[in-house]
Amino acid sequence: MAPCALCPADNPARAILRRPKTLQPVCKQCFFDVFETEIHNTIMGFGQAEGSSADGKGKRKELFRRGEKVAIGASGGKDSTVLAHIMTLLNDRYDYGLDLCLLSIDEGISGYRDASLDTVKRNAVQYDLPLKILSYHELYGGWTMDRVVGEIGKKGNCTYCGVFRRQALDRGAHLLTVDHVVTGHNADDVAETVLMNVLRGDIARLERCTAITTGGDLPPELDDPEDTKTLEGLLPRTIKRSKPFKYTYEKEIVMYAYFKKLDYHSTECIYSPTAYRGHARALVKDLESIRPSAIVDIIYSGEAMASSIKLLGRRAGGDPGPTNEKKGYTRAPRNSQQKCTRCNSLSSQPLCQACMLLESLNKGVAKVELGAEPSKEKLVGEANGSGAMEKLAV
Amino acid sequence: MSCGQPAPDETQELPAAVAPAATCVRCSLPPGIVVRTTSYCWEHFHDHFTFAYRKGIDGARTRSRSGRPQDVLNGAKRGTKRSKVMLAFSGGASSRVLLDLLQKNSFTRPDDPSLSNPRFKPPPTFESLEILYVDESGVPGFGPDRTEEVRALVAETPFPFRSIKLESIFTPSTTTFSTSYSTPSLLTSTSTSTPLDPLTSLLSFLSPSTHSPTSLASLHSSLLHSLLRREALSSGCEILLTGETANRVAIQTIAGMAEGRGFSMGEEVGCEWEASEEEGGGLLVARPLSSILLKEVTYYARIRELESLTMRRPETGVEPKKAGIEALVQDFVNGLEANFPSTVSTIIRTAQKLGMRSADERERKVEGIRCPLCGLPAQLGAEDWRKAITISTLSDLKSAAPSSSSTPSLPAPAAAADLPSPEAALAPLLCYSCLLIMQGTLPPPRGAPTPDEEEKVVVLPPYVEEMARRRRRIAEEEEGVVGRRTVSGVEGVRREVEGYLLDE
Ligand SMILES: [Zn+2]
Ligand SMILES: [Zn+2]
Ligand SMILES: [Zn+2]
Ligand SMILES: [Zn+2]
Repeated sequence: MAPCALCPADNPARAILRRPKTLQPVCKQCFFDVFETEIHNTIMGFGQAEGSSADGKGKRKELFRRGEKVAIGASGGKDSTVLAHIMTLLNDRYDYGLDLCLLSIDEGISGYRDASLDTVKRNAVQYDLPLKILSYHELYGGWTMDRVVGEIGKKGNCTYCGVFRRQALDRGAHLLTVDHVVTGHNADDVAETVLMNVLRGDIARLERCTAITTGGDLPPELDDPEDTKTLEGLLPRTIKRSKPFKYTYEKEIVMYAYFKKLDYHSTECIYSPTAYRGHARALVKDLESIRPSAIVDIIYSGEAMASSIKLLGRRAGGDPGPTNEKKGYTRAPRNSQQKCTRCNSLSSQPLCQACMLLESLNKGVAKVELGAEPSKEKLVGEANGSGAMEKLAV
Repeated sequence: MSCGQPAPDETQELPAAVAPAATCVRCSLPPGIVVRTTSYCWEHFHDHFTFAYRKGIDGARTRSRSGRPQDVLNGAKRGTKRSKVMLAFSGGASSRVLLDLLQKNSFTRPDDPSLSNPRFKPPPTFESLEILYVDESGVPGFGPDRTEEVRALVAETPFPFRSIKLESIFTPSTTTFSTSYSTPSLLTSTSTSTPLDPLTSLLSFLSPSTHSPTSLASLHSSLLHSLLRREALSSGCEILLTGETANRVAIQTIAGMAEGRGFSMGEEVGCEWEASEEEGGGLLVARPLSSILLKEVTYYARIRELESLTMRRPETGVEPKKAGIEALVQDFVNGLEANFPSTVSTIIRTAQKLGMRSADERERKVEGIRCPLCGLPAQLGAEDWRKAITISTLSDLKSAAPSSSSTPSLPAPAAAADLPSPEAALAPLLCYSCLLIMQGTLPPPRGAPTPDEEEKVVVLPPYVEEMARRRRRIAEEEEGVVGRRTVSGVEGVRREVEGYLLDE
């Protein structure tokens, strides 16, 4: 077997795997080291193409602030189990100073969630983290996913699951009074979403799916750490959500869990994604098999394309863009945030997405048009918008 | 995550094909073609198609009338002289149709009897047009030289035709500029010994034993486009036209994303962009057919009886999944378009909303950063970004280890062990995508000497050396200078006094 490509050249250990991301032969210890270090670099803001401007002088943005209370969205699956392990490990090793906890959502999918929740409970003990479990049943007036599926059939139910889970995480985060939720979305998920948004022509969502952190918005003039400290309690804001695994390959997460013998639940959600996501997923897998770096390359492209929306000058299609003459080219006004009249969560409309879906379920309407999508023409507004879509942003 | 991350409107699948109408949308004739969901007879299709062309050529037309931005700034009168145009002609249906459209719509003379309204006599939109064919037969797998066939295709047009071999991008060269793939930083060297002949250089540069099919296709395309821009500029053309259709642009968008080309995507797939900065002159690169479907182009060519060459995929003898990213994406997009006929138009609509670094730099009056290899906008620090999230050397791994201080950080990029003379390193200058290609060379075949024993050295085209030298010079000039404001002499003065000037 080949020698490890990352060990010192004079005395390399025996490689035991070929890293999916680079195809380099590496030993077990070096694999752990690169896996953990790349995530640490991501957390430190080194892996954010979005943060660097064209002249390379953009400021690096660290993911967390010392003292922040961070909830790990835990499903018991491989991604979130490895995330809980890694967050605990890195917080300790690099002294981030974070106050970590686990937050789990019980969607009420029989045969799927029960076993995985047991895993989450064991994880809480293993990593010595406080755990909060919230159920759809209690959050949504008895609407478990099983009941939703019974009502609307299997097609498109991931939409409901996603909308409900997002809001459930927000409500859970409020209950636990956390500042920040981290989720286990990995690089494969992000690359898939980037491609899907381009295939669907949804350039606004491109920005949000490539952003490592969404939510937690403050008006730009207040986007200063000092102001933030004094004002944050006074302003409405969504909970920050981040993806520390943004550049981490799914295959490597599986390998890491395997070699670390982590305790996770391997059953996939029984409700399958839509056909459309399936196309994008298949393409990502094929591209990865041609060039292993393709997954991060797609994310890099997605970030760069999303950030190009704010550039001055003509658009690629020839339309005149914003010019320098209009000094202080301003962002389109944000959608005014308001509170959902029913559940009090932040929403750009009188009724939030979750409450709209609930209403349709209660009325027995099988399908409902999801929140009025902002006009496709109001690109700038969309790209910066922090409306309903923000919370749903991937 | 168990359910992926469903977006709220995932339930909305793309609209499938709708049964086309039985008559033309504007008259009662039977339709000859259905474009997306609209049916047209030939005559009304012709109107629609000509209108789309006029829209596509508008940027080039405006440029031709108003002159190069720098000439205008330097006081030249607007509109006194039209621009010379170069058409990159491959011999395929798209470039043949573009040539026909140019001839019929942009070069009509006042005495042309085909003018429908003799009272309206527009002068030609452009000063002149030169047809340039690049013979790529030097590239393995591209078949024989077809220059004479191509020449015959355009023999009846009034425009001059010229052909040039792809390998001439390696001329003129008095020295040999090369890089070593064995060093991750891609150290370069210049040797003054007798330079290799261009074809040998080309074969060294595009060697299938060093690069994957994906990388070869990308390097080939960089050479081709650099050659086209160079030839256009050296013939005094201010506009370079290429014939990509919407289908091509859609494939290039998705394939380009997968190859890490997102930073320059607007320039690569947009209607037009200003290519000049580092290449010494104002050149507008335009793609007038980029909003028009291949299907429309093919129909137009058939009815107009325009002959063209059948374009072949280079004979690689492998299935698309192994033939590289572009071939894979081409199959993917074509397959999706067959089921959802709006796929191509949706992708290009997305791409056309992108901003462009070149346009932004122009607005902000800053000098752009161009990749020395592909000539497109490059992001500074692409190499550092890559090293942070894809660690592939021991030194990059060690550099992130927690230090005694409580705030861990990466060391300065120059800390990499293999950078004895950073001024000769090519890697920090490359765009992310070209960096992937140049650092991602194939391992030597089994039994071959390992990289330690045999240096993998490759000859680079002279333009790469020139652009690399320019980039380094800019970097030196900027040392210690805050910001990148580089308003040039005359232009700077002009802007200063602009408010005080009266119309001439
Ligand atoms: Zn090792
Ligand atoms: Zn609500
Ligand atoms: Zn008609
Ligand atoms: Zn490049």
